[in-house]
Formats: sequence, C-alpha cells, structure tokens
Amino acid sequence: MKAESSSVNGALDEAFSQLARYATGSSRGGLVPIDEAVGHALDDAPLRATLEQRLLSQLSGAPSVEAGYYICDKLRFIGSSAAVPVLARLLTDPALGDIARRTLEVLPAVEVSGALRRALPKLDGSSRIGVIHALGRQADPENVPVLARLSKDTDVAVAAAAAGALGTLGSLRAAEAFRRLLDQPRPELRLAIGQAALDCAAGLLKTGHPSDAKAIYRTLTESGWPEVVVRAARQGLESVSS
Amino acid sequence: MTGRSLAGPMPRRTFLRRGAGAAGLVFAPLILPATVWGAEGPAPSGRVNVGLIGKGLMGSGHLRRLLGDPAFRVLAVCDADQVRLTDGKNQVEQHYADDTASGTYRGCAAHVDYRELIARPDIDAVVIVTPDHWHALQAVDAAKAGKDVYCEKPISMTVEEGRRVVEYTQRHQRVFQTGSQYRSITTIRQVCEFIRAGGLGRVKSVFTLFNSLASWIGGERFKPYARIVNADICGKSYVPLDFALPPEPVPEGLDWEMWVGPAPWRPYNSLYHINPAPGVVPWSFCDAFGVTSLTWHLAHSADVIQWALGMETSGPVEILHPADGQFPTLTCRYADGTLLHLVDHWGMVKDLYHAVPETARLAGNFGGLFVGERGWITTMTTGGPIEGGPEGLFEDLRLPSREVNVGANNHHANWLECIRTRRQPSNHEEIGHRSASLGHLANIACWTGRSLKWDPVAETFTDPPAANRLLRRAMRAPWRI
Repeated sequence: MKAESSSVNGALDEAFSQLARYATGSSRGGLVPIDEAVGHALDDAPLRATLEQRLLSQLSGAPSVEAGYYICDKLRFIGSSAAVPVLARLLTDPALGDIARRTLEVLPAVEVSGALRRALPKLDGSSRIGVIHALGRQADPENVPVLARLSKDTDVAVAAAAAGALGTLGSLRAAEAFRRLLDQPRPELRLAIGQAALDCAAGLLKTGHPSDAKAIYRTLTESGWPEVVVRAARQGLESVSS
Repeated sequence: MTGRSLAGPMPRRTFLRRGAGAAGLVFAPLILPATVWGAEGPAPSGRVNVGLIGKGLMGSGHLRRLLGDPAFRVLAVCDADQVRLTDGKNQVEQHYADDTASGTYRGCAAHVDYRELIARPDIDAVVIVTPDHWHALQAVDAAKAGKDVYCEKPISMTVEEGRRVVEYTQRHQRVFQTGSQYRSITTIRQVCEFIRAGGLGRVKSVFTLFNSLASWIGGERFKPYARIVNADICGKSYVPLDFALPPEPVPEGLDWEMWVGPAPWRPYNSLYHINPAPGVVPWSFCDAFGVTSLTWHLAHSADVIQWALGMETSGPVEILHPADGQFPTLTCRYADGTLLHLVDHWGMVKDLYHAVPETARLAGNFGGLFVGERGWITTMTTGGPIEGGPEGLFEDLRLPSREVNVGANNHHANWLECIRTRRQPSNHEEIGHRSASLGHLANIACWTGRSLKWDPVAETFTDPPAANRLLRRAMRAPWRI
C-alpha cells in the first residue's frame, strides 16, 4: 500500500514537472496523473489544498499559454479563495486574461466579486465585457451599483453587457436598478435592456418575488418595446397570474 | 413546463393490468394532442422560411432535406467557412432556379455571423448544425429573436447550458426540435412504446455504448500528431481532452475567431476543421468543442432509452463509477431501480453482465438493449434489424418489419407540423436537455473518478455537492447566454 502511494506521488511529481515545461507540441499523456488527482480531490480537502497550491505556484511563474489554460481548467474543479489573487493578476494578461476570468467566474469564493470589480478600470474591449458578464454571476449586492452605472456607459456594448449582467443577477436590488433603466431606455439599447429585464423578472420568480417580477413584465408590455420582448412579457404575466 | 406537457402513453402498470401478453394490442401514436402554444408563427398552411446555421457534412444533409420539402423555403445560409458558405448558397440557388421560368435564382443570403441571420424578420425558423460549443448559445439567441429552432444534438456542453435552452425556448414560446431523429423511425418508435407501456414487464437493466478516445485519436488523421495526443495513454479517457496542438495557417476564407466563438480559445489546427470534412464531428475529441461519446452517439441513445423508460424529462438519481466496485462499468441508476450500464462494446453485455444469451446478435448504435422481466430487445438503429427474445415478445409487439429504415423518419415533418400548429414537437427542448444531461453526468463521474448522487428535479448533485461546480463553464468573452 505504501509502495503504491509512493508510486502515485512519484507519478504526480513527474506530471507537475512536465507541466512546468508544457507548451505547444508537448505530449498530453504526461499530465494525466494531475487530471486524475484533481478529479479525486473534489471531496478531499487536504489533497485539494495541496494540488491547488502546486497549480497556483506554476500559474504564478509565467507559464506557457498551454500550461496556463491547463492549470485554469484544473482550478475550475478545485480552486478556492486562494486562487483568486493569482487569477485576478492575470486578468490583464493578453493571452491568459480570458481563461483567468472564466475560471474566476465559476469559483465558489466570495472574494471573486471584489477582484473582478477592482480589475474593471484596467480592462477594455472584450476583456471588460467578460468581467461585466462575470459580475452578473456573483450574488453580491455590491455589484448592482457598479453595473447600474455601466449600463449608462456611452459604449453600447458595455451598456448592453451591464444591463445583461443586472438581469442575470435577478435580485430585488437589480430590479430596483431596472425600474430606472426601463424608464427612459436609449433606443439602441431597447432590445438588450428589454431582454435583460426579462431575465431579471425570471430570477425574481425563482427566488419567490412574483409581484416584483409582475411589475417588470407590466412595464415591458407597454408600447415602445420590441415585439419579442412584449410577447415574452405577456407570457410572463400570464404565468405569474395563473 | 406549465401547459406544455404531451399526453403520454398509458403508464406501464395500467398496461400490465390490461394484459400485456394479449395479442393485437394497438399502441398509442407518438404525438398526442398538446396544449396549443403561442399564436405567432407562420400561417397554419403557409411556407416556413428557414435559415441554415452550419453547412458541414450534417448541415448538407439537413439542407437537402429542407430543399426537398416545398413546405420550407431556405432564405439564408450561415457558416464561418466561406467555402462551405458559398457551396450552401449555390446549392440553394441552383435548387430554386430549377423551379423558375428564367432558370435563375439569387435569393439565398450568405452570412458568416449567425446573429445577422437570426435578426432577419423574414426568417421564421433556424436549423442549427454547428459544432457542439455553439448549440446552446445559438438556440437561445434564436429563441430570443423569435425564431423556431431545430438544433442538432447534444443541445449543450454543460447541464446549465441545457437548462438555459429550455428556459428561453419556453419564455419566448418557440417550437424546438432536438435533432435526435432516430426516435422518429417507425420501428424504433414502436419498440420504445412497447417497452414504455410494459411490454417487457419491469425493465431491470439497459445497456448502451460509451466509448473512450482510443479509436478516435488512434485514427489515421491523428498520426502526424501522435506524440502530442499519446493515444496509448490519452486513449483511455472517456472525456474529451485538451491537446497542445500546433497552430497551423488558417485556411483562406475561414473566420477562425468566429468558428471558436464562445469556446475556450484554441489556435487553428486542421484536426478541428478542414475541407473537405474528414467525417462528421472531427472536433469532438477536444474539450473546447465537443463531448466525445455524447457527441458521437450517446445523445441519440439516451434519447431513445429515456423515452422507453418514461424518463425523458427526468434523469438518473445515481451515477455509479466502476471504481466503487458495484458494477464493472459506469452505471446510471434511475429512481425506480432501473440500471443503465454504459459499456465499451456489446461483448461486455454477455461477458461481464451475462444479461442475454450467448447467441444474441448485438450490433449497431444510437439506441440501447433493454432487459426486462419478459425478455430482452434492442433499439439500435444501425447494425441490422431489431433483435430480442423470447420470440413471443415479437408476437405481442406485432412489428410490420424488424428492419430499421433510418431514412424513413418523420422528424423534420413533425417539427414543421408543430411550427404550424404551435404544439410541442416529439423531441422538444426539455427532452433534448435531459438526453444531453445524461452524457454530462457520465462525463462528470469520469472526471471525478467516483460515484455521484443526482437530484433530477433540482438538477444538482447531492453527493458530493462539490461536483455542482462542474455543471457549468463560462464562455469566452464577449459571448454569453
């Protein structure tokens, strides 16, 4: 048993050694012991912490793009609060920023939200949009004012993404933000805001707030909203009433 | 699902009480009246204007089907590959030109970006035949644009994506057909209805194929990359993997950025996409773009199996990993105790499980082998006729033929009918989602190397809860559902 454990550890050490050199054209087979260990670590806290530290150590040391992607994918399985600062530092990295954000987005750690918000001013283009979307996936009330402000951004893509993220939040505070957004929407954002408001209403329904959902649906059945939004809002109203 | 449930066939117990063994039973038709969906859509007898999204090998098949049916009019084609796009546009225009007095037709639009296609007010419906990583996003965006959808299987890359497809389809009252057409073959339909109605008695176990990467990455086209893919080691994986394939020059006319879309970024490599296509789903080995067995055949098999078990809008409650020693292969247990064993090849059914006689002929794919109190029967679509035993089963079943004619299915026709009537198709979004989920659950069990307990109502893992983080993955910016 001891010999078997020693052999497993040896294979894992060798796999981490290969990961340090992993790059375009590298053999994938050498990483399989890490795949297996990460899978087994899902409900083994000590093993999870050990593996996470080893992965983070390599991620902090300027890995190749291929190694960075691999490590981020493994952190998707076992990453914790400890991974947040390392991933957050990568958000501005041209090659690894997107995979770092995608990994952060799904980590079950309360620190994620703040890290994403702090990164926002340093980002532009798709990276910024990605972080805005990610903020919508964190159940953090502090994200609402940030997203509400961004939903008025002069950049239509940023404003639409922020409205979408508010919709994904689907909370009472997000609904409050929508009350103002739905009041006088910019014409070029009507479709995006309308769809986002539908998302918010659906979220409110799921969390037991039918009257707040109903208020959003009612607003969206008024004239001026795109037909697809109006139809869905009517359907929503019917489902709440039935 | 409020107000949308199809009236199902009679429950198994009712069937049994009425005498399952009696000859001359007439089984209920597949499509029974459903609640009428929203009123908007084409006129009841009107032509349905369609856009095709994805013109690969499968897309070409769909295009032929659409062009061959005067009830459809193909107004636009979309593909990130200009070669395929131009070919599709030319094919459509040539077909319709033959019907015009002038012999010319220039009415098919060509789009590289599907968002342009679904924004067209003249298009009623879309057929989505893109790589798997696009399915859920395009289906949701189409629903949000008010289009009815036919989407290739699997409809998702994760359980969460599939749930989103269901939610948006229902929110926008769209008619959604999952592209698992084998359930619409007359023979398969009859066998499934027979099993579902209790014809086998209580179903104890079901078997279907679940394959590793071995044969895929051991293939000829992977030979130049043999050192990278390590077929001897990585071939044992049942889940898709990432490989550090070298970047290659992007072929002229291919918008690789668009092709990758919401998936994790991978530089272009011809193993993912090349013209002419080396076969269907060449990208399915890569975890960015596909889901191995679920892409290859399990989405079809799960559809047929869960339908026959009456579980098509639910799922298993446990996924039992062979490492736990209960069964020699990955096995799903349903709430009523039925076991679905995933096997590498049909020989395992005899050698490992001893579930059918040695003489049983098991072949083919896209279905399963059912073993019940009264005997056993196959629902595989390829590999020959329906097999089973004892012979008395077939006297009850009264199949006009045991042959399975793949081409003779009414899957598109059912979609068309439902677009006109605003009813739910035979393989609607919830069914498509649950079929895909079965594969996702199996893959998560493989990733974690352990057994899992699943709540099919809440769609969460109850043991271990930590596995719930694997139910979703974020999309590459700027894409999102």
